[in-house]
Amino acid sequence: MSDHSHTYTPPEPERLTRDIGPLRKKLLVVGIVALALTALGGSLDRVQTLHSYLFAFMYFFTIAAGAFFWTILHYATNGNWSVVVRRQFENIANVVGVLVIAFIPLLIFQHDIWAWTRPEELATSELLQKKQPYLGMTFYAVRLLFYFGFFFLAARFYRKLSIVQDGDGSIVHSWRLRWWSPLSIIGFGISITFSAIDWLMALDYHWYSTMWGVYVFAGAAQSSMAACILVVYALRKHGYLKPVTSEHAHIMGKLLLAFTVFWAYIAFSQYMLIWYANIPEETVFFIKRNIGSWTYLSIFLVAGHFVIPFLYLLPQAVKKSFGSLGVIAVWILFMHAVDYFWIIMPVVRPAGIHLAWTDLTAWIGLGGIVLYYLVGLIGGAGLFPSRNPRLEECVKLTN
Amino acid sequence: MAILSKVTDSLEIEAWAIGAEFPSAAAVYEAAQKVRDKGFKWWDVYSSYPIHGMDAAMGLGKSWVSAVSLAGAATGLTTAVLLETIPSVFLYPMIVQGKPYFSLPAFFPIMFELTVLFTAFATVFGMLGFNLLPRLHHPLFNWERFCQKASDDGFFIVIETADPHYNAEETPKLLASLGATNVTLIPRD
Repeated sequence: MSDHSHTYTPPEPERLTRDIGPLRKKLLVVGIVALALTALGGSLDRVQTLHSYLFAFMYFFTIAAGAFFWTILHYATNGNWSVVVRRQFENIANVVGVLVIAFIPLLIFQHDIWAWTRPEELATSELLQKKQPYLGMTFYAVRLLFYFGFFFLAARFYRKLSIVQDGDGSIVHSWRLRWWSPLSIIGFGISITFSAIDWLMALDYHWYSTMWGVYVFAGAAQSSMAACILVVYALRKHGYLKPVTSEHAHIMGKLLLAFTVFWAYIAFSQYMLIWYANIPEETVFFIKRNIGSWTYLSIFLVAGHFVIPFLYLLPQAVKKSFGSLGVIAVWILFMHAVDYFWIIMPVVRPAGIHLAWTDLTAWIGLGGIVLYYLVGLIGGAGLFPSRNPRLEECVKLTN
Repeated sequence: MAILSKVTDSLEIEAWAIGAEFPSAAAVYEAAQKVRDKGFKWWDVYSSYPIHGMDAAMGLGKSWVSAVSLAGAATGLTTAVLLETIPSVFLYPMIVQGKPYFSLPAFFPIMFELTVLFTAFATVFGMLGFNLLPRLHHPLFNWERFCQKASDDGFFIVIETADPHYNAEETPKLLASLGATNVTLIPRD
């Protein structure tokens, strides 16, 4: 509903004009050095270092998956507000291209991370034998192929057709992407749920929670929105993305608030059901995280992942500026790291909180490579879909 | 003025406001900006559906219903905490399923629900309060054309005579110059 303003001049297509080469080189060097240090750490303590690496991998994987979710959601709902920022979601989703390769160490050393992959475990554990139809190597291989094949191909497909449209301006691309979007949502739902089960829940194959997939998804959607806000903020700070207004900031802020609440809702529901029923095979997860100093991290997670961003994001004025949103986006991305630290590390450090230096090097290393790739993607295409049929509505957005 | 309709001919009637009709949402949107810029305060825009951006075009600023909502949320949360803690811990302490008397996880759902419920009530009734609703009658309904079209396909601007900037000579001319039709004085009774 924007028919009240008569004047519309389409925004000029934008591309990165500055030289991103030096920045990318720095990121690549940082990434390689930090990953080399991590490998060194791996030769000293393989199990701890592999968990550090799994932590870093899951951190970036969930952000990329969340960005893919936002991309397909915009097509499925035929939304108009998101057009000017959608290319950044497409870019973030496409870092899955790096993560496919980054998974290889986790595949090679899987015996050190997931107990269920060890043949000797299978021989002695009756529970694991009962779970063989799912937690078996053949089906696991099929699932891995599906997760990575789906994310990789679908993320590329959505970005590619969107870029082709920048060139020819044909509406057919929008139609095609919209037609695929409901199917993509099914593929996404299957991938995020079962990858969360395979890589995180199966760290302890005794444990199960039917809400686990949703929990991971909620964190992924929240943190990827924060990541996109930061990318948009950085681009605007350098004078790009001129059609993006405080109205777009407002919507992204509202969605960030919504998914902050959603994460808390899911996290609490999962906790309360397990707490209430008090069945040993379910409570084992929370008991591990309520022993010693892990208790304090659990409480910090509730406060930092929910209470602080929730209260911060309540006033309207905060959500209307990319500056104030950027502050909480950084905080949420930090809390996303705390969340994954809390999920993964108690498994190998049951005594209490302990930050290994490989946690940092793995995170910085993979982060450097991911950012190196992401900056390349941002520079490799227009900064927003300049010939999208809904661009006019998006530029004139009021809400 | 020829534009003014018959009601204004009888001079004894006390005028409550002056009303004007506009042909489209775009026209009423642009007229609202002009009326805002003239400094009018006691006026309103009527259409059968929400026009995006009209808040800014009218210079309304931020709605403070959200403050009432926040007060409702705080009340709801406090109510739930007291309603659960006082009986479960002090009045009728009972061990249920081996849990402590003060079991926050069990209390949370009620705290959440009452917060939402009180917020919803505060928002709805706060909105009604700010709008001075409900009321049985409004002088606006003395304008027959408004009654026929406002909820159908009419777009109206109504400026009250109580507005400090209102002028019996100038204001109808202003509205007419903005492209209004059916500029009408609306009687109070």
